[in-house]
Amino acid sequence: MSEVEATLQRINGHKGVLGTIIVDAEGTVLRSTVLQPDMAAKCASLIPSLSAMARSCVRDLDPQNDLQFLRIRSKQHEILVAPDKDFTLIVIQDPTTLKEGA
Amino acid sequence: MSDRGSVPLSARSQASRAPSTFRSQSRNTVGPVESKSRTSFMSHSNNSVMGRKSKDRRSTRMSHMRRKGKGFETTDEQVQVVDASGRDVTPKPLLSMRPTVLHERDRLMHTPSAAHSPVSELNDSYDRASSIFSWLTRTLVFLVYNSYSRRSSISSMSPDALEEANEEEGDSEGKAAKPGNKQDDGNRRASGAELGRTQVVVVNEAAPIRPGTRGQDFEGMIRLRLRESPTVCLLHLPGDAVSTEDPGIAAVTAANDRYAAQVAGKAGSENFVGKAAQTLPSMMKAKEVQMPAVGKAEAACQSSSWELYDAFEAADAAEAEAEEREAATEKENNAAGPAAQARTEEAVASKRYSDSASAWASARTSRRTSAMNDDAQSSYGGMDGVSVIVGGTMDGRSVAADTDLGSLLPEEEVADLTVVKGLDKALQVMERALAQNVFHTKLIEYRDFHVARPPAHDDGAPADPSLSTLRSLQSLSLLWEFSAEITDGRQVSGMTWNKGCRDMLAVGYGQFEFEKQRGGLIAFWSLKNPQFPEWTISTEQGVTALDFSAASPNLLAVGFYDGAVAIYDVRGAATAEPLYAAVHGAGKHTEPVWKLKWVDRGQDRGEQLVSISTDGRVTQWALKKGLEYSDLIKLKRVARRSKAGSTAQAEAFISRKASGMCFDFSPADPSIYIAGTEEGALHACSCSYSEQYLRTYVGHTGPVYQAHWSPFAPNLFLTASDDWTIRLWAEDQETPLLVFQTGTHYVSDVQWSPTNSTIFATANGEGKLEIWDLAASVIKPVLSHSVLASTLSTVLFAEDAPIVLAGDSNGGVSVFKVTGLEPVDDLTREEQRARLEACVGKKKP
Repeated sequence: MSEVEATLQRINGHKGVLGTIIVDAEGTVLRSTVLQPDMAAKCASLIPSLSAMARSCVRDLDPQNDLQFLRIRSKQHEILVAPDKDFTLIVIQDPTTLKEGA
Repeated sequence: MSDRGSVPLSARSQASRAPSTFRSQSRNTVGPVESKSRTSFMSHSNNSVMGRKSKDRRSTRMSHMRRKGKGFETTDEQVQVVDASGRDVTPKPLLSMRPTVLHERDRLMHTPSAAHSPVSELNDSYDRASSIFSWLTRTLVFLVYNSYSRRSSISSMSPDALEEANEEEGDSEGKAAKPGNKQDDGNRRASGAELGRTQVVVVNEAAPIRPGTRGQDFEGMIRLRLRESPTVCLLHLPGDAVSTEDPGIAAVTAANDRYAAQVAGKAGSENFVGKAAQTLPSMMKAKEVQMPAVGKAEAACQSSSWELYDAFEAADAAEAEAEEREAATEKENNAAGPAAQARTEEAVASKRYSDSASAWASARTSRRTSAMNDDAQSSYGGMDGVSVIVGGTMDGRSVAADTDLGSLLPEEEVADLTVVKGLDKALQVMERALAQNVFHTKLIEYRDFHVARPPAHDDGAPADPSLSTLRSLQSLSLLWEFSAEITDGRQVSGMTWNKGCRDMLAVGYGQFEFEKQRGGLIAFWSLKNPQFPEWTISTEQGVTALDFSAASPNLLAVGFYDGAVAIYDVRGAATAEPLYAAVHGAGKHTEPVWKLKWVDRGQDRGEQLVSISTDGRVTQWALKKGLEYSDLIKLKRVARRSKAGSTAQAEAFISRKASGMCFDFSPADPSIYIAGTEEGALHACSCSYSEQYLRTYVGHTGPVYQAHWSPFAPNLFLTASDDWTIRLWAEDQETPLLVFQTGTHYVSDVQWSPTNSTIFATANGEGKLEIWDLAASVIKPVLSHSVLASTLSTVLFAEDAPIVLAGDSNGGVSVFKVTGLEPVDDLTREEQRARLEACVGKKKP
């Protein structure tokens, strides 16, 4: 198993993680471990555009800067987005389970 | 007759309400019939459309009708035309009016004209059915010098328009005119018949009505000049009458008879054919031209400052690259020849184009890939235009860029993720972020930030620990454990912090027992992810000692169970191979390397690596051309002197060599060090003497596993031994100052706290981590914690946080936070030292 796969498995086994989605640059879902498939499709369509907007904002402020990580904390869960040129990595984590265990 | 065009219509005056006292008829001969129909049409339309009595509408309608050239007389009560002799020659309306209107008018008109019935009859016929010829004789176009408003000169009006106009135009005026009209109606009618032959003298021709006079009554009559245009005769067939008594009557009669016969014979004769000619109106043909719709395409481009920046950067990079290539090819060409040079210049030029094109293309694709909303689509279109301009070789590049993305297989359920570049880094960052979420509070505690706990959370316990209550809350709390699947079951043999990056921890795993030997592991842990090491290095032999260099923080020295010493460079990703390895050779230890340390030997010598092993050698390694060794000392056995006396027989030694287990260089004098042996003897040695010990410390009865100088007091050091004791020594005294013992298990490690001079930590074979505070007690530790089901082998303090690490035999490194100990942040080193010495001195026997 490659390093990437091992890391992905570890991430999925992390405490509170609801699912992982990897979206390529075109918007197609490469990998998804979210329970509801429609959720994955929705995330795949919505999140990259938001991250593009965030990236645009960061780079507008300073063109030499670039967006590295994006976190959206909502009431129910937290969406962590690692954007890149070729893909977008999205992980959804539930912080309430963290509070109990931690 | 003149047409309307000859009537000079003066400019409309401002007084749109100026009463029109005259209306001219200005229509051609065909007028009546045509206009009748037309006007009737118009009247219909007007009736249908015009329901309002707005002045604007009326004016437009009137002007509209004027344009159409309606011609019919208007009989207006207000307007009357009087000739020079005073007779009323007001032209009469041509058309038949509506019954209602007509009725009214007739009533008005006919009543006074009852006396002129034959004339009225005639006039009725004129009203109702006017023939063309009668119209001809009466046709006049009056030249009007009209300085009134245009509307007043309009000749064509529909009856209801007239009515409305009457109502609208100055009631006073109309009313003033009305009575006069009634009286003169008869005159008017009579004079209408003679209209064609009269000439009206215009009197008041040159007096314009001023705009300001609108609405005022005009008491007098306004005189106008009328002129008759020459009459055009179209057909003139005068009749001829001959008396019957004329001598030429016979000829006339004969001719008449002949003519009558001819006319009679025409009827059924074949010689005469009735022929009609009619000019047909030209057939209209609709001609259509159809054009294909002009293709329009919207191209929009959204540029933000960073896109511009990217584009410029890419262009610059492409240029620089092309220049480099050009320089390289030029060098080649200088050898090749001028002909080749020309070709390569072309190639370079095209390449430059293609490079910049590829830069544009990559910018475009990057933009396309990075921004997937509609704006990106339009910018894509915009970029297309630019890319077309740039070069023809772009297509190949763009295809190449596209295929990189296209090589991903989206339709497969489990896509091959290794193709996606950069995913591993993103995953690493993601993992760290996730770990941060999980360990957030723990990390804050690690850094010793005082977090205010919400009062609702606790059940009656005090809210946040303030500094004053720290003493009462002494605790050793487990924050987390650095452990992963990969490290499970391995014995932690050494831990060291990186001197450069203070949050990185290198942990060495290797079995101590000879029977359980397996491969070793070096794992690098980071605070950012306590759940998995950042990276690991697998080794063949078990790791027994490791240390990071302070001078070059990227060098990690590792000692192995087989006596080898290797130096790894941790800068490169996943360095599997050591930089230097003393795997075989003369200098290699023949026994496990139990301690490795980078020692700063001062200005002239720099930092050196020193190792000690159970083969009795303390070896110093140099990094020139591989590892070169030089023995600092070969440990020799020392006879143990019994307490009773010195007369006991010396034991016979099997081997003169002692086995070294640990060493530590003095912080005060970098050439002095103490070495602990497996026999229990401690020796103070000097680097300049390789044959002799400076001093031997006697006290331990078992192997000395660890020795550690106090960082504050340069003459005190601690030792931990297999004989269940920890002893505190002064450098100049051969017997220990203090002996500490807590249980019946071997003590594997002892470490002074780097921040507090009276605190040290010990780890023993029972799995207990103990914190001792000499200021509090020398009998027992102040804090103690048990790590279950394993033995502790190493203990490590963190430099900048109140943290103690404990490595156990299960592969886990537990992170403990020490709270509640006396804060000593404000004490200087001297004060710390004084404190320590005071504590020690108190207990001095």
